[in-house]
Amino acid sequence: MLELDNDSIGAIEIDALTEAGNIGAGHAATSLSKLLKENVMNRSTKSVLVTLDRVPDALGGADKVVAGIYATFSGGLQGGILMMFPEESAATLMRVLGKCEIEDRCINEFQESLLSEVGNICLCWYLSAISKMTDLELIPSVPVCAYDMAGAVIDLSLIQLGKVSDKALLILTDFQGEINAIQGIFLMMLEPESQKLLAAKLGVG
Amino acid sequence: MRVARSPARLVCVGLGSCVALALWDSSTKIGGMVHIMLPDSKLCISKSGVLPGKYADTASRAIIEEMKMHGANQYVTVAKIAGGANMFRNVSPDMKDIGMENVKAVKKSLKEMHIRLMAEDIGGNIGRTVELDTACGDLIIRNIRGKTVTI
Repeated sequence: MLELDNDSIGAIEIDALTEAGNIGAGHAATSLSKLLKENVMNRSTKSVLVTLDRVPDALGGADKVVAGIYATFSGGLQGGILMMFPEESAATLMRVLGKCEIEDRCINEFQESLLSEVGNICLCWYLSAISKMTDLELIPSVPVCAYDMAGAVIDLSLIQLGKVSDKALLILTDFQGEINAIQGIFLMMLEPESQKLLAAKLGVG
Repeated sequence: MRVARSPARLVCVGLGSCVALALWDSSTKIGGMVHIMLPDSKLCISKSGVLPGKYADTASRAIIEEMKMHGANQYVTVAKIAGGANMFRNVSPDMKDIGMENVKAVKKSLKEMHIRLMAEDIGGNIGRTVELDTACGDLIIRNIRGKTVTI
């Protein structure tokens, strides 16, 4: 079996993966700009290596309410990708795209479907950018959506990762719109073997 | 994984499919809480070994040992559990059951250790924040829709 520990990942590999995340999120932001008819830009991309129990803190707190859209991917790389919109941004998406409000912090079927679709578009753009860069085929699963505390939304993805590692490399990008202050966070988690493969494809493995 | 004595409160924030196991010894008012992610430490294929708090079987044992070190009495210690939800309605079947598998595994461990399960708030599709009051053994469960349950 290959090295299955995140500890062995080096600073240069982390830099390369951060850049991949940045490019992926850049494409996703462009797609969101078209949907919202306003300019949505990446603000920052960073990668942090944290133990699994620290992940919610690294994302701004386990109790913050978010809309999370999650898909796994397989093919050339294995992992999961989660997109999170903070409560206010989810409300903005609803107003602009769905002409409705989220009541009592409870999303209905239409709202769930709308969030999933926005997430799906962004996630697919993100993945296709990485796929083009690396010449690896990435096949995303059908995305699923939840509207709840960040800790609860993210724990399923951590469980998946937790089977192979005690640490997670989080590739975080947040972006912001000009008019509607849409904020979003992408979180890509690769299985340790895939991290190495991606870094190698980017020329630093 | 944390252990504390009355009047401290132990909190687990934002549980989805994970399970919070709360143990409480009424004689010494020592409480312990652990945030469990996976059912079985045999699933661990990480090279750095098993992190005990992560798996139901190892976490239950680790937390009672820690409590005993602080003077708790296992024979009067009781358990309450919360969590094990399925956050995503349309997720693939292998991921759908992880919450319930965690719950099952915790119950099995408790049985093996002869610790009585007093109450539970499990399943559903909603996230939970739980708080153990070590003064009285109450487990207070909150969700984002403002509903609070005490078990």
